[in-house]
Amino acid sequence: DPTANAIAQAYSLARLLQADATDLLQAYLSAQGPPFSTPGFAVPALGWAGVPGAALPFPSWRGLGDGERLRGNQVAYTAYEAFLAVVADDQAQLHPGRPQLLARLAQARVRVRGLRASLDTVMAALGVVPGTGPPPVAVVTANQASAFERKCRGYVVCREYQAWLGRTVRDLTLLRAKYLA
Amino acid sequence: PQTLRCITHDFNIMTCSWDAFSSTNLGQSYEFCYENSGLLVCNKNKEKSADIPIVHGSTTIKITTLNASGTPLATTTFILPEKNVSFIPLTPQILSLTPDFSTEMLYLKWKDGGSAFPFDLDATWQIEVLRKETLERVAQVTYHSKLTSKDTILSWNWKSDMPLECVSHSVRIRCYINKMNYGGNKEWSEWSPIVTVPGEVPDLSFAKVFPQDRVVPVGSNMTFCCLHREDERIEHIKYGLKSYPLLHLSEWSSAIQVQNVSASESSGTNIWCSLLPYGVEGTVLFVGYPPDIPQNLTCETHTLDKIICTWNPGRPTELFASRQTNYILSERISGRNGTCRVTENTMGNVCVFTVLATQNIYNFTLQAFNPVGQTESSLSIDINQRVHPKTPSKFTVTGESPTKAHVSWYLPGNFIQIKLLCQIEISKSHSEPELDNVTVYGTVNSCYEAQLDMLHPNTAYTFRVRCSAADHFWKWSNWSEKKQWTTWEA
Repeated sequence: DPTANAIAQAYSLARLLQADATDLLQAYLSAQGPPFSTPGFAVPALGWAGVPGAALPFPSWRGLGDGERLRGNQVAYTAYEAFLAVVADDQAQLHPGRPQLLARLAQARVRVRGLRASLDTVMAALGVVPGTGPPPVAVVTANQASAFERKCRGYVVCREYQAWLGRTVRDLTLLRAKYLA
Repeated sequence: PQTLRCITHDFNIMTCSWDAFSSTNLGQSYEFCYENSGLLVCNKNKEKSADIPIVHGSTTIKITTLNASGTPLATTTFILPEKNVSFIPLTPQILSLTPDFSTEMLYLKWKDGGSAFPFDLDATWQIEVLRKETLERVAQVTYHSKLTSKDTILSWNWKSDMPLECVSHSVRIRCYINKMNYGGNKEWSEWSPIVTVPGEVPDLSFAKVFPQDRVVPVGSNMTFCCLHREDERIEHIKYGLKSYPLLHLSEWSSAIQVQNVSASESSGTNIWCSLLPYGVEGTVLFVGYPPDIPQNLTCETHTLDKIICTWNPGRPTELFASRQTNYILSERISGRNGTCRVTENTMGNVCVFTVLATQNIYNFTLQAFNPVGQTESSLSIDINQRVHPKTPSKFTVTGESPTKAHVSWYLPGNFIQIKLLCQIEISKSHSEPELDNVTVYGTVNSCYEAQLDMLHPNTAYTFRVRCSAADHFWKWSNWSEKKQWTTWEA
């Protein structure tokens, strides 16, 4: 069944990216110096305009329709593809001597593109019309930010990207239960 | 009239004022008379002051109080010796106070008022820098100048030890003129009106912690301030991992001072201002070293059309990306510059300079600069004495007789103006390699050849070749690849 296969594939990819995202966040924080690099660093209040937040009250999340759910993912990862590029540029400017981090960011971008394609396949299989999300704000303000703001932006992007992958895994778990049962 | 006080601003006219007490002051006026060049001059005035020319020695001044109808009420005559006339320069006016936030400098300009005096005078200025709304004095400087009977714009600048955005900075100045042969008392002028450069205002400020993205040398003493709105409070300000005591600057600005900062890691040292109820602002400081003097600067040519300069950058600067050290190679005779390529690991730094047809001697200066300093090295070379040929290629061997072989090779380069010394290594098993030196003239097509004789017939040989400049040896090229060859049977 093409729908079930598409959902299963998207789910596996999301799980893979979820693991990567955790490593990416740690690698990112350790490259920024203290306090970012101190174990357990977390500033939930820190945000950045345009970075899609994954947090959603459970009832609202549970009540989403399939189309709304998938479109939300699609719009988010469109933004993350752009934001991950901005973060990579920022880090290349801050300290080019960290090829491993730059490589992880590049890998994340490629895999996000793969996940979006996989989600598109699921949407097509379910007959869901793709959404058109707001253009990512990041690119407009990319180079006016200070070094500190760039570090914070990168932290927020990596943190929320990880959170979104968690949500995507939960979304696809619901869809698996519905379409693979 | 009593207690006459006279001052002058220009040694020319004095302004005298006096006290006068009477039951009613209504409609009173004053007549004052003085002698000027033998003539008695009298004037009337409503106020209890008068402008009178200064004469050498002493001046006799008669002041009469008149009632509303002009009837004299009282008269006093004053004998005023010159020494009782105080000289007070006019209050100076600041023309401009211009901040440069990126360098934390204040630039002050003011007019010295020299046109008030028809002769040269030594002037002393006192400049005060005041901080905060409370105008706390943070600097007082004495500045000397010479008045030259015309108005001159003077300028002075001051480097703040704190970002100018952190708090308001104000300046005032006053003047003292020391006319040696003036008998009267000499005093400081009044302070000029204060001119203020306001600090950043939190709500309008894009950034909250200052300075932003600064690059400083190791060992610097730094002040960082955090600006917050009225509904916020600073929980702490950390430099890296360490929290520092807060210095209150204003109702929305506090600072920390960090002494003798050490080299930061590549992404810079974070300054973290944690706000209550919640919020984070910060900045990043990049701390590093000025570039070392480029060591072992070496310039050579492989092909006599390009000069390659390399060097050892010396101590790492700990500054990266846009803050890393850049290099400029300039040549003094031709006035031209080379093109330099800088790499992150700095050992791959290289500059390339195009050989000029008409020039053999090259006086190079290699400048190294980064945001915290610059230095340079120099080197003078004769390019013909710095030939380091490339590795010979297309090395071929052909037989000519049982005891002779013909070898040829390709050596890229424009060597037609020099001779080359090439060395052919001749090896055969169970014996030490022999070296055959041949001198060849540079060719247009970069192809070279030589003949080897006195070889043993029917013997397996291994040959390879390398070259250098014949007249002024500098370096051998690398060896070419080896070629096996067995001589013909006899």
